[in-house]
Amino acid sequence: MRERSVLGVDLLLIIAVLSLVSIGVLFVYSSGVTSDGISFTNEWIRQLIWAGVGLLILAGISILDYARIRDWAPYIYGVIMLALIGTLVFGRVVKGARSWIGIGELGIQPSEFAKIATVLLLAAYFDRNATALRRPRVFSVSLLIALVPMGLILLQPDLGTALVFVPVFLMMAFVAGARPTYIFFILAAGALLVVFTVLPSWAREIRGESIAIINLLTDPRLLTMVTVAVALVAALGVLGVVFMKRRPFGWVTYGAGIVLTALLGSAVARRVLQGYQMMRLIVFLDPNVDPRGAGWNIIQSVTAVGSGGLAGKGWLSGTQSHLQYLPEQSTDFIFSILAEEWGFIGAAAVFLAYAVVMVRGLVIAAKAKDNFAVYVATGVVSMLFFHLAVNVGMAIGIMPITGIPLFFLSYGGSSLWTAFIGVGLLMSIYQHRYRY
Amino acid sequence: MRNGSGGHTVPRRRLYLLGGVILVVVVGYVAYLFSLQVVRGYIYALRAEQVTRRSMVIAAPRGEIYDRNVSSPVATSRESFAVEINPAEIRRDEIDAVFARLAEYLRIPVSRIYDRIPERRYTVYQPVEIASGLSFRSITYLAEHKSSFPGVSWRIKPVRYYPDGDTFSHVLGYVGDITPEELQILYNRGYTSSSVIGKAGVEVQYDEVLRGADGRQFRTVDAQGRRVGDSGQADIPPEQGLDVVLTLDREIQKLAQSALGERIGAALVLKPATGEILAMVSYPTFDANLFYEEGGANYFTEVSLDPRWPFINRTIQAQESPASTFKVLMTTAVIQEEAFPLTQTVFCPGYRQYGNRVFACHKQFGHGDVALMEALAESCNVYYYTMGTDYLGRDTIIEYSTRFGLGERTGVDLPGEKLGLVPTPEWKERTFNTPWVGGDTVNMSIGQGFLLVTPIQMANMVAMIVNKGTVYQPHVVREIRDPVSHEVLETFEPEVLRTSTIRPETFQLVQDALHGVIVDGTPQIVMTTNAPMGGKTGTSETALEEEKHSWFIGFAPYGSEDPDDYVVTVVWVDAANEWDWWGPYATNIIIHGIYNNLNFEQTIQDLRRRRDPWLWYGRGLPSASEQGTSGQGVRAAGDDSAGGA
Repeated sequence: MRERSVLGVDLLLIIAVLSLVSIGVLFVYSSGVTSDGISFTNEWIRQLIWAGVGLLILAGISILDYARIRDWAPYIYGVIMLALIGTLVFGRVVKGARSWIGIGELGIQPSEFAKIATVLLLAAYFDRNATALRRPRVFSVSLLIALVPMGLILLQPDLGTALVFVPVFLMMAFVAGARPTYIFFILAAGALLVVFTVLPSWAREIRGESIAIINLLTDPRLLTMVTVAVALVAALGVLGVVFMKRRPFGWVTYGAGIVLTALLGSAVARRVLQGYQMMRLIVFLDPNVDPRGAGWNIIQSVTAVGSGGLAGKGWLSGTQSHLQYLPEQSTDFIFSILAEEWGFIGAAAVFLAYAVVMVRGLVIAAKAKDNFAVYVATGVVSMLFFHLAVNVGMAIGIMPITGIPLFFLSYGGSSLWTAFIGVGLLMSIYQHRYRY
Repeated sequence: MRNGSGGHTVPRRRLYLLGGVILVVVVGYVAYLFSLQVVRGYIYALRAEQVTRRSMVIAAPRGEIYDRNVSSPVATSRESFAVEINPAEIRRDEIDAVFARLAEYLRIPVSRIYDRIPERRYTVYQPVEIASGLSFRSITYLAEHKSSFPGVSWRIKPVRYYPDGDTFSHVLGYVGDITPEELQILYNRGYTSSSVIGKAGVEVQYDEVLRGADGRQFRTVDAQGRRVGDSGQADIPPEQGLDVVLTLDREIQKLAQSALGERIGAALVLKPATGEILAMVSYPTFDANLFYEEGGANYFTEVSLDPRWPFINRTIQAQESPASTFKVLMTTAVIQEEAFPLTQTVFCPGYRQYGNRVFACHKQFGHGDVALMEALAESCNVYYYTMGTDYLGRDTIIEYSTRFGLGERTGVDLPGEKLGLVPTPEWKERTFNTPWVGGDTVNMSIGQGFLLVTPIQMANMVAMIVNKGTVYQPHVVREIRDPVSHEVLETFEPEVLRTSTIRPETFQLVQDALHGVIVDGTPQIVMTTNAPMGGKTGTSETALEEEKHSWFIGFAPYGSEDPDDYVVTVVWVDAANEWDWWGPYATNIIIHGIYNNLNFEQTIQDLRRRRDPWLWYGRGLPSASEQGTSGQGVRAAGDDSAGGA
């Protein structure tokens, strides 16, 4: 790998990142142009400035020895959590979520930086307790580290950003050696939770009828009875393990625990989720439930992407985007413009660049000189991966609309800098991979 | 550092697994994108095209309708304006104020604007029509106060206009916005949800001729519906609808309308030589112009709910017993079948007993000995009872009814024509589950009982007598013309509807008999016109003793050699009127006016000058406007003179 580095820099990684950022600026510009060719925002200029400043940050972090960052991790995490709390109190409401904090025109989204802070603290915690991670208590503490920012962000409420913490935590825990059963517990409970949460609304909006069994989830009395029953099963399993010393009882508790978590979680989620968020989940299942309302975004985006064809309609020539059919073009749906104007070739190129960044990130992890570095690299790659999968999935209609940006491409200083800090950390790990 | 010099302790297997997951997802996404963009791309390309291109209908000007003289139209289009609001052009905080101001000016409830523009449309750049049928003056005010009405615009929206008001209403009908039910049926014939469509009369019968073809304007719009440029597709210009020329004559129509006056009933003037309808009047009528004005919907509802049913075209939709006018048909049958010698008499004692029932003649103490001609002139029931039961028989009466076209639609080119009814033993069995009895034949002999006819069927009956065996298809449309060059595109030539094997001599005798009716018979006091004519009264009984429908069927000029000279008139006045005996009077006016080429006022003057018996009775002939008020005195005259049953 030495031959690819100039002055110790991972050239392939930096080229891929610079390509993505350049494409991003191009399409932020395109999204701000009307069909008459008039540019009506200066978003692209701001994006350029943020990219320039971001590159300096990236360079600074890559020079920095990450070992020092590890020592700062608890403080960084603390400061960001305070900022999140401050956002909840003093923040500015933009598009339904209290996610901005700042003075006047200048503002940041602490929720973006919270991802990095959580990755750093989790890495530091796993590093310190690597061998003890199989113990439930240590695993639970690490889970708590992820859950705190997640909860604070859910309160904003920003479901999409909050969800990022789940795969980041799971992947980092997996690499750090957590028991697969723990990870599976969270995955299964999470999946069930989503199903339980969406099912009643699905029955109402899509099936248009009430299904008897779903009343178990909506009727408070029935729900309580079901919950108590499942809890009893779990408790019996615990008793079986303790008194009869038989392992299969543990699996009973495990299974019942998954269901119990999902039941309680979905009851909370149905209460916390906003109507529009629920509707977005529903229209993902069938956009035609509400084609002019919540389903509009999905239908318009898929139409834009699909109509791009192989080579696209040409930069600045997309019809769906320039006629304002696409919402949130410069942020959430930037991929749709790109896919419309550059077609499959452009979309595939973005995926190639992303694949390079992520694979290089894992290679850097593999070459890292200590576990903290491996965990950080894994966390950064997971974060980038999840954003890519969810954002693009949303643009092409295979993921519900949760409104999280596509790193490097989407307009927005906070998300761009978060991505650059992540890459900076990767580069720092790469720079400091040799023991001196 | 802490973990010794061998690098980290993380098993590479887990990193590889992670890398594997990432690569699988990335490859999966790229494959899906390939399928979406390259394989199925054309579907979305088409969809994107459709979403961004919108087409606007350019309404085609509707064709005009003229009377047979093609002097000035009887149906045309009047310039009128519609007011629209383009909600996205109004500042959000001004929207309520603008709505309120406009509603106040237009004198409509503001809720109507909110109904048409719900809040989710506030950002949509698409004009919504708020009101139509506005005058130029209203628009001038809006234009002068443009700054108070941001987002408010107007466009010319021609509305149908009938210069003669309610005169031609039942022939012309009216137009209206297409209903969803109509659209379902007509969608394949090029109608759209914004089409204006004929709803009654010629407007619906000839809708496809009159409506022309709507044009289309294509434009590219953005998500808010704002026009952003030309679509590159050429506009399709609208094709103007064709003009229709009626067979009706404006002067005769007005004459007939005034002659019938404000009496529920119908008057029909037919030219037997061609089947052309010269006048078609039904009362009560309506003024369709008022439908298209502001608040027209209220007037429409009012007309719809009128218990006298003004929308009914009574010339083709009223079904009544023909009463004594049926004796014309009976007379034809007696002569043609040679069933009874013309000079032989029947003694009329004022009644005829049949089985255990007594059937009265209208003359209480009888007509004495009467032969055919006298019997028709005096309208002697007993004579026809005898003919019907003893000499012709049920089946012959039914056969002659069918030969004259009763119980069948005449096929006039107007919607909604009624069948009438010629009762048969099978029909009675089927309907009432009782057999035909002798009394039914007796009743039918004088046009009572189950027999039902429409005025237009009676006109055809007279036409057959006048034409001596031929009936031409009655129709109201004469020509279709090009709207620009006025070139005749299509002419409706006379078309034989029915021919009869009855001898012409028979018809000549019937004509003579009908002339005799006028000269010697029941209505002689009424028929004061100088036109030589033939005709027959009829007074059909209803369940109520007091209420009688009044018929008069006639033709003129009797004895003319030129078939083009002849006109047939049928007047029917509903029993619901106090003026239920008016039939012969109205006919007298119509025939006199046509024969002497006079309009209604001139006709009245001329009839007065001719020492008209109304004067003799001490009361002047009421003018059209006075008729309603000076009724009673004249009624006394009518009861005696025209009451032939």
